[in-house]
Amino acid sequence: MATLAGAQTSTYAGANAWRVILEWLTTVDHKKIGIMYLWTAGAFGLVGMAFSLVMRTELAQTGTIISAETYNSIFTMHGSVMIFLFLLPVGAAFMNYSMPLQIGALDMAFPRINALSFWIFLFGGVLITLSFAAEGGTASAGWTAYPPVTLDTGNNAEPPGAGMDMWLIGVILLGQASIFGSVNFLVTIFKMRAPGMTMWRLPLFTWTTLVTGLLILLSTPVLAAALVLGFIDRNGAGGAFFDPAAGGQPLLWQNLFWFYSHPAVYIMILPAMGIVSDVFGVFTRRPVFGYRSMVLALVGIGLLGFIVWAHHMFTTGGVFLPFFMGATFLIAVPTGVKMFNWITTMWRGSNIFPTAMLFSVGFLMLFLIGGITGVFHAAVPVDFALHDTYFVVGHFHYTMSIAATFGFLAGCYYWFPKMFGKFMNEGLGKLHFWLLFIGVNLVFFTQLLLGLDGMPRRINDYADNPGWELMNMLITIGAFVSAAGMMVFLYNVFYSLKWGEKAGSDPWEGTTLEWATTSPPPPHNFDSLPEIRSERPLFDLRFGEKLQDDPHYHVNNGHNGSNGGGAKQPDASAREEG
Amino acid sequence: MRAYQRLWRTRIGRLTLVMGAAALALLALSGLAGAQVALPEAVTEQGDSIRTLYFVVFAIGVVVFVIVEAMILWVVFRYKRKSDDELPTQVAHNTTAEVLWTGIPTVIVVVLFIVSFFVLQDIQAAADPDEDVVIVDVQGRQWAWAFNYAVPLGTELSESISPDLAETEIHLKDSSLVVPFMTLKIGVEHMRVVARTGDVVTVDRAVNGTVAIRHRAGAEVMRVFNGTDTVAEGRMQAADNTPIVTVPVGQMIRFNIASADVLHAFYTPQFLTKLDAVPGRVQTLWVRITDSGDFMSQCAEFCGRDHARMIYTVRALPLAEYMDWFEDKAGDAPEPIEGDFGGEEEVEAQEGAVGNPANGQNLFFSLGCNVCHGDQGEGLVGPTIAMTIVPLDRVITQYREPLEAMQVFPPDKVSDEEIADIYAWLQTVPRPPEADVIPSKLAELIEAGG
Repeated sequence: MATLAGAQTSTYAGANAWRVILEWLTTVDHKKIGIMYLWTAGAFGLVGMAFSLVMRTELAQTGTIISAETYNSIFTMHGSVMIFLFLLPVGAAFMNYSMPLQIGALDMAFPRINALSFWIFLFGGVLITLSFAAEGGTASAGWTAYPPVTLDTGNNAEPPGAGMDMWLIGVILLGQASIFGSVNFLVTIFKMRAPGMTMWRLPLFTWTTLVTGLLILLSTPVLAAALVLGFIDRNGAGGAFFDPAAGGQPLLWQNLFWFYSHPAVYIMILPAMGIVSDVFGVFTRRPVFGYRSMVLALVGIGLLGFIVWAHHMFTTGGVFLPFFMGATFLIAVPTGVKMFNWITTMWRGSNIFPTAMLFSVGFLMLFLIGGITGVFHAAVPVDFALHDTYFVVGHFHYTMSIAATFGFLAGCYYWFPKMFGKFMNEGLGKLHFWLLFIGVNLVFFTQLLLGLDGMPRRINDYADNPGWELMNMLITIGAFVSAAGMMVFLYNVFYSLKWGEKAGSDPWEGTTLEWATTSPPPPHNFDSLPEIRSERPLFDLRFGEKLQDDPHYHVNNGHNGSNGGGAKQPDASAREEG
Repeated sequence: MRAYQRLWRTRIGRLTLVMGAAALALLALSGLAGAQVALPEAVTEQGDSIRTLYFVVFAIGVVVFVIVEAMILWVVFRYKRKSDDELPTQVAHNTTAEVLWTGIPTVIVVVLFIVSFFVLQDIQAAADPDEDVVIVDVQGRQWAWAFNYAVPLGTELSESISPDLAETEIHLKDSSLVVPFMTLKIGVEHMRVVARTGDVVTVDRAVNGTVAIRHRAGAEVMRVFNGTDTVAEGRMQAADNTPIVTVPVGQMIRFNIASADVLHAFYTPQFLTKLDAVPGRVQTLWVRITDSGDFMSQCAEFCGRDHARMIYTVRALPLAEYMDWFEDKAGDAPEPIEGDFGGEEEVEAQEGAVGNPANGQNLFFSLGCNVCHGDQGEGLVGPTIAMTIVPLDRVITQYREPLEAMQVFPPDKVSDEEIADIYAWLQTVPRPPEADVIPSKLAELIEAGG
């Protein structure tokens, strides 16, 4: 024993480092898993951004720098990495980290499955990334991988190689990780809430986690089925699911794929919406306006999200257009409700604008453009003109890519003090915001104009039409400005980890339960919980007495019912909208 | 300067200045880029309807954008925390406002749905049944386009292609003219002869008519791309050898859009519409062109390596010029069509041992392979050879020392290279589901040949 103790002392630093690594590798703590998701997804996000810079360098002028094969591989990997390895797991990161804290839970319902889903995700992500080393390179048919260009049908000129199979298997694994995660989120929300945390008192971020979990659970198995069929078609004898020459149906893939991938848009954007909702609530000192209509709008978007998949297929000629057009138009309604709720939360608020709030306001502005351009696509005849042009590229980046990223960045600035006990640097944060905001608008607004003028997407070189070269150059400049912004962010992360100002347990005057514990929280999350009488327990604690005479304060007017003990107050279910 | 400073001091003033500056910057940028916030001028009737609908959506979009963006900026600039213990109103509901901002957008999208629905009906409408329609078969393939033309109604075939007709066995069936296995290079639809006087044959098209002239690879336009080196300096301009589809102004045109291999999309920006070419389906796009001119067009659905190079030109001619062009084309049709493929030698040099499918397709018909194996290699009295899995060297042996009933083709009649070309073409032809094609074709052959 003495020898062992001696050895431990002499190699203390090394042993400690190993112990820390081992601890992270074997952890089942939702907070550590969340942080691992965040780091991994962030790293993948930087890779995805690097791909976009390669594309933008190629497209800055007419003529080619890299080969068409390379370009196709890069744009495919940009989409795949950004969606499957950045946006989806960043959402999972915050849901993992914050949701159990927000409902006052000890951990997730199934901590080991939680760890398992992270490691499956990482393995799938690495597999997809490694396909650069595969014979024939990566998958190169876009992140949508429409057959038959993905298949060796006999008359496909250049069937993709093993990279395509690695992509299929990788995405199957990521889907499996998502499904595990969603079950975990749902069970945690339904079964692990602290006493008093009724459904109508869930923070909005937790509500978005719930709806996101449902969407993942119901849609991802369909994608998994499509991927397995695709894999059989490529490798099994006589699959013939998607190969028309063998009697298959290429459009079947598109239906299955979008049955997942449209809800996936909401899977990406809803957590971001949840984050900005919480951020608005904190930095305005106001309740989020229309909390219940917000929840209903969330659920509405989720439900409608399942019946609009074919709006990605309007020009295939294989879709019943009026139905999908109508359903797509309808989505504008709950989306509008949310937009107005956010704005009126700030209305007459006592607003302050730290970086998290700036990114949330930026989210609103970008999402507004994304939403309005979505209506152009919903109108089928207009979509006939705009589909598969840069207009749709601009549109979906405004919504699910950039708006979602702004929401997630707001989440980074907002929860960083909770995760690491330190503030992120505000000066760098504001520089980051402005560079990114200007950069992305230059990129994506110009893309809208370019799309109107008819430039198709997914081409590595373009016609020398008037204005196209200049617009493409502007987009490229915008891309590099955005990338500079992200470099500032990256620097800020490391700077703040080391030199950041210390943050207490509740640095923002938060409203929800994650701020009722230390920063970072202990492994068991909470030593004690405050009384939960509304969706803002900490706000009630801080300002409840001051607001005793305010008839609008919802704890006073019965809007949020009682906790388990307060029999005098009306029950939550009896609450009525005012 | 002072006025500016005074303005800057008030919140509203700052808001105005910021918004104004942003709007100016955006305008300047887009003006600099020569961009406009509208779809291009349409050159079709259908495109005009789409453009009008676009402006309706655009107008509503701009109004919504300005109002909501102004609301965002207003709340951001107007409401700021003044002291640390300030507590704002805790109003969290307003039924009137919530009903309004649910109701008004609902009304807007319902109206937009109704308008879009009728525009959709309008642009998808087929021609009147008694209207003369121009029919063009469009086939996308990696990475080229083939355009084939149906013989226009009333074309006097005797003038243009009667020599070919004379060489072809003609059999009457159900008072229709049946021309099996004809090697015409124009006409795509099944046609029914509606009148025949001496040498003058007048045809009408009937989609489900009796088997008639099935036409082969485009009389005009097909270009096989072989990577970037076929595009001068990598620039994508309408070069001389860009595939051209020629159509008349003023007539209803039916594009039958199909694919030989993977997904493509027929996209002419100035039509303001596109339609995917889905293998296994033939889809219809109706347009009536209003302006003559050349319109650069491009595949819009990713289709593999050289997707970006799959360009073509739509050439719209006044009707009289179009008829002249067509009759010229029809007269040219029986001629060999090497010239249309951008230089045979070049292509051969680039493709090397792989074979030149375009040349192969010509040989397939000039050697008469189609007589026994069918126009698509689908098999008649001879076996199905489309997408054959028999190796090339075995196929060459079959030409020289045939098994079964096939005739001998010595090397002076068809060289090994030429067989490789035919083989390459056969690999591009979809293999039909066996059960259906052969019996009916056989039956026709028996009926036709007696």
